[in-house]
Amino acid sequence: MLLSRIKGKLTYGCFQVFILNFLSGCLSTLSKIFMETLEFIIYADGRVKEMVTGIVGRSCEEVTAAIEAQLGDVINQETTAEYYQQPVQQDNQATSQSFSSWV
Amino acid sequence: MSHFSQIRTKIRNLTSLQAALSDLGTDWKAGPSAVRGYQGNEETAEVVIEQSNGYDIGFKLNPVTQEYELVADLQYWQQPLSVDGFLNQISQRYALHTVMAATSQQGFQVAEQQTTEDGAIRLVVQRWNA
Repeated sequence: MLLSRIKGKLTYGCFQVFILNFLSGCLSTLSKIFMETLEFIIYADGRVKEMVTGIVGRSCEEVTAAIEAQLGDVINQETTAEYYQQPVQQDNQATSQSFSSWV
Repeated sequence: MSHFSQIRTKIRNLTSLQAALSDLGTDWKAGPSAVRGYQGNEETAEVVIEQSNGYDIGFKLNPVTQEYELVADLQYWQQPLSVDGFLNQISQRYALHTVMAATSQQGFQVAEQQTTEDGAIRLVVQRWNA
């Protein structure tokens, strides 16, 4: 009796988690399709790390170029083909990163 | 002997530099005007920070590199931060203003901005994809 109740709760819990995961998955997919997101870490010494998520449009490249022009030399960390072979993990994945650096 | 020193930076945009100085509460004035140094020596700089001891700090455009260099007689440095600390903070604020200006120009809006424990600034900007 008790066991079956726990089982029922467990199933319900799993179902909830499933629905939540499904919804958040949909949301993150939608935002990936419709939102361009840029994330910057500006370190205490002025170095800048840039991460691009979602669709990478041409304007992103323009933004990056404009920033690089004013922040000096930039070391680019290009995304390799291996990246695309990895299974899909979390949202907010970085698709490219660049660093500005002091010479 | 006391003399002017010029320190290289990666600062190329005057407006962002001025905004960075204002962020730090620095009382700067737009030039070109004179930076006062030891024994009446003078340099001309695009931004000047006057010091009460009669020796100034300036940011002077290097025409070759197109970068603003810090010009000052370091022996008479009279700021709450050390030279390195000052330049680091200016560089961080400068980078933040540069990133914000460049992204907003492309229609991005700030979604998140926070300072992390190690003093870095994390900035997230977003834009709807048409």
